Amino acid sequence: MALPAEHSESGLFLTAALEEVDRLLFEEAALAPRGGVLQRALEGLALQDDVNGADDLTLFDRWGLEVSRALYDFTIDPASWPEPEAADFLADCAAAFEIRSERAPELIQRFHGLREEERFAVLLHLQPLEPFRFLAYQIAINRTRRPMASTDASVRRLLRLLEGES
Amino acid sequence: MNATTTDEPERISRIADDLRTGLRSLRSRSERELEAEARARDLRRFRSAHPGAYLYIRDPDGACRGLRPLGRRKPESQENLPFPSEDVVRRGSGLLELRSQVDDYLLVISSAMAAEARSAARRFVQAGLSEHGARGPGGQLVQWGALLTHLRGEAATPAFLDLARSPIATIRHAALSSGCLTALAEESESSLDWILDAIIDEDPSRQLPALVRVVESQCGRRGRTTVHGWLQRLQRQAEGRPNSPDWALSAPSILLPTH
Repeated sequence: MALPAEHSESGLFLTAALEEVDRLLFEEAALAPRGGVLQRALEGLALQDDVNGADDLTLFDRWGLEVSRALYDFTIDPASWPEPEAADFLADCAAAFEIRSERAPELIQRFHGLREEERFAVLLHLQPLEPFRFLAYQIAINRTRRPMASTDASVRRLLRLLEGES
Repeated sequence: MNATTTDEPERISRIADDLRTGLRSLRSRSERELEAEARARDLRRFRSAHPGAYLYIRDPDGACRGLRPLGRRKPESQENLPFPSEDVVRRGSGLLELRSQVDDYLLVISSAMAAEARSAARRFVQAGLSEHGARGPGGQLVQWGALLTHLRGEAATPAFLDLARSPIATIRHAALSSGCLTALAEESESSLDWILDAIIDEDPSRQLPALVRVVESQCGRRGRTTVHGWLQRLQRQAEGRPNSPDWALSAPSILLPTH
């Protein structure tokens, strides 16, 4: 059952929480549907018994672990996410790298197998594109602090990996 | 990620407020539904991460990649599993108590197969068939039943031949590739001929892994000339179809071993 979809890509209007997801995704140099990660983490939180009485910091900590878990789930098996927004995200990735959409799950898996500085470089390649604009803010504040490889070389390497070349 | 190291209580408070709002909005989903989704998610993670899954799990196109020779050596590492293999039956049963669509049965059965819990998988198949029947989407449960029959060393090809006549394309495609391999293993030449003809009439793009095994095997048993003739027929069929894969358009030269 989907949540109301009128607000954000996750159906939720949780601005601060979504910004935090953006930060965490960038911290991990990860590529995942931010709204889907937010929603799954929230659902994981809802299943915890004593969550309603938890203080702010405990709630935040537990939710952070759920974000990590959701992110891990997506990176190892992106195709298993049935949410429409995950499919939209994969389609956006396929379009950004000009590959066939059915290859997108493999693209995501290959991406997360790259070295961290290469993953950052690929994010740099994506951030001017409309569906990935959320990356721009994090890149702007982190660009000088994080090691990044050559963008062109990293994107070429990712596509070569996708084609099965070494 | 560790919030206890941050010195931004205002930010955390703002996010926590947001999370509480989100939790309230989730109340429209019942706890039972959330729990079922969490269990299904764990089982999907288990299945995709289990080193034994490649033996049995169908690819997204529905072509069964199972039925590899028993005893084939598998990778040992099970480090990334979300829970131990021994728990799969309990978790699967728990999911089926909460939700029991055909897809849920398929998830639980395939997870049990990956964990080598075959008797439990058989029980799940029977329970699913009692609830959903063998027709329509229930045919996918019959496929697992046939696979289990084959793994017990009994004849399963007739069941796959029946399924290959299903009106549902996904079931037909999976039954044809599974039937190919069981017919080979059971040395049922007439069944294999029927299946190969049916594959030509169907979209052959989903049958490649099974075809490669069949061609290798049949070259030794029936001779290259016979197999070459069959591959030429497949090629002609492919030429008459839009968007045929390259391998099908050049089937004899690509699939036939060079010597």
